[in-house]
Amino acid sequence: MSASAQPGLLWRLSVNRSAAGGAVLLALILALAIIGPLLWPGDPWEMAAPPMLWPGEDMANPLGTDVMGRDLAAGLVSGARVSLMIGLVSTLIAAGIGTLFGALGGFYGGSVDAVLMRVTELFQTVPSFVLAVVLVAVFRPSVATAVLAIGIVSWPATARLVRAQFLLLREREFVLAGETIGMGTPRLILTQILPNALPPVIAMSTLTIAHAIQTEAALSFLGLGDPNVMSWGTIIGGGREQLAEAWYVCGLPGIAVVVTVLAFNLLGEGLNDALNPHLQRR
Amino acid sequence: MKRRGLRPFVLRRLWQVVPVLFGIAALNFLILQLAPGDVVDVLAGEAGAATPEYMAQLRAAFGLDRPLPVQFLHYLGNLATLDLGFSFRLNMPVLGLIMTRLPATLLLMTSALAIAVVAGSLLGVLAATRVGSWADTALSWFVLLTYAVPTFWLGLMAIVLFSAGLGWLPSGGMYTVGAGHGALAMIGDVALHLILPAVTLSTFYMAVYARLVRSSMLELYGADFIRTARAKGAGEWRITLVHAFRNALLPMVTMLAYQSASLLSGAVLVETVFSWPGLGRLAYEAIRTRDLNLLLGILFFSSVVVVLVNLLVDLLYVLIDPRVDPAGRRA
Repeated sequence: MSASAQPGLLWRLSVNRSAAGGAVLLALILALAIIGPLLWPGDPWEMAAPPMLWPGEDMANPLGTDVMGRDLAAGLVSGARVSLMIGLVSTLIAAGIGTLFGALGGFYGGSVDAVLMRVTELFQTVPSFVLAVVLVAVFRPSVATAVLAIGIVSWPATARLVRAQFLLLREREFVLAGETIGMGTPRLILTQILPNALPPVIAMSTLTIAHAIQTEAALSFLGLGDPNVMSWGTIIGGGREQLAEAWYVCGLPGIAVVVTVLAFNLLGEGLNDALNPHLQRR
Repeated sequence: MKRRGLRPFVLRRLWQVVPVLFGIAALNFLILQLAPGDVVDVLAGEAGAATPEYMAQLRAAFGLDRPLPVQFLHYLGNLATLDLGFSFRLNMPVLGLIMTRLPATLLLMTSALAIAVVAGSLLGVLAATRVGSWADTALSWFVLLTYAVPTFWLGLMAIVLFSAGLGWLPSGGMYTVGAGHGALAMIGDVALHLILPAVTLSTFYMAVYARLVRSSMLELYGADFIRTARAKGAGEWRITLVHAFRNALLPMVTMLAYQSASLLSGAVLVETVFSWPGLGRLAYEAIRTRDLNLLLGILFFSSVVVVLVNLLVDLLYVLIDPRVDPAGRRA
């Protein structure tokens, strides 16, 4: 991926149907997260109307209310903000750890690589959701612990990808040339190899965000969300008791999760195709 | 055949398990160390679930005044003897609790896996034999959606539809409480309760396998041995099932090993939704009562289960694919 490929990238993305679809969906969700609080300004935790109001029954609460009379539209908007934020930050953490492990292992090889890959394998062996649950439970549920826990369980795939990239790139001529003109190791890694290793990492990170959003929803569904933050999983968890009478309380935030995850998956797949034109879709 | 190499392979593979187990133990110990409060606060559960005398005894036994490496060795010793501590909330040893819940989880996982493999293969073969047809397109949409749907939410919606709405299937639990049954009726009863959780858990893997089988079938259709079979006059069905599908099974077995960890994670959520009395439900109860030691025990034990499953899958692979050389080193 050279610099001259950059102008073509946007074009390739826009003709790629899944990337375009994902981008449109994502734009809608972002818009909801940004302007939603203006449309439904209420506190999502406050009782706004009679409880268990069905969607469409009263246009003041277009999506209805839950068992405590809290407005679901306001809840969904709050959930969109929380999900996007947690998904993004935890993925940054995962990408950071993964890149560090993969870069060091791939560049140095030998025993450094062996040790780092053992650790990576370990994190792939431990059931990641169970580990996330334990981490959040031990360190008390909050946005910060959720972000950290999701980041800590999500990095191994990135590490493997970056390592593979580094193994390929470190033998390439431009890297050898850099080494010949006396570049130090940090400079070689940061300015020569890393920029060339990043494109597939970005594509994978898009998929990591999708998974992180699912994990966040699952954690708060189990009651391990931040007690002060209304997220999609919190609403689903709260609506469970009245599932038979008012399924929409669980249904709507679930659809929100599906749409958001779908958007990131489509975008990630599209990025993958656009960044690796050689790899035809399997 | 390379059966000769099987025994050294098994021994080497067993030996490779040791550092992984050590790593898992170290990870657990690290979490214990980083947790707020000292180790015994965590081990004994919070809010004075244990008596002060027992806490003091535990502190002495754990050697909190001794240096960290000694504590770690002590911890390793406990784990090696399968002593996972005591749950004060449920008043039982952690290992005992886990063992009583393990069969339900294994039943759920194997059923889900069986459904996923069978249905996923069917869908994959169907799509591969009709590339570009509406069935193929429908499958790609199914895969796309399934990847996006959170398992636990899918389970809730399945309850809404099949239990609350249609009344076809029970919404949770493993048995009908209080009904006197013969052995056969009881198996039927459990099977009935198993349908919704198993299908829910299997959906994601069904999509994964369908996609995998489809792509490996398509690759195999271009292979020389398929062309030879066709030239020899084998029928399309025979080519599909005997020649292509049999070879498409191999990547599925590899995938199985990759997914045992994720399957366990999924079971935690599915069991919570359907009140299935397995490890996952136990984990949920432990979260509810803040029984951290029980939670750590479940983490350790489920990791060990994953290690064992991977070991089994490796052996299975050697047994079903004669080309795999068990004595060979990594390529």
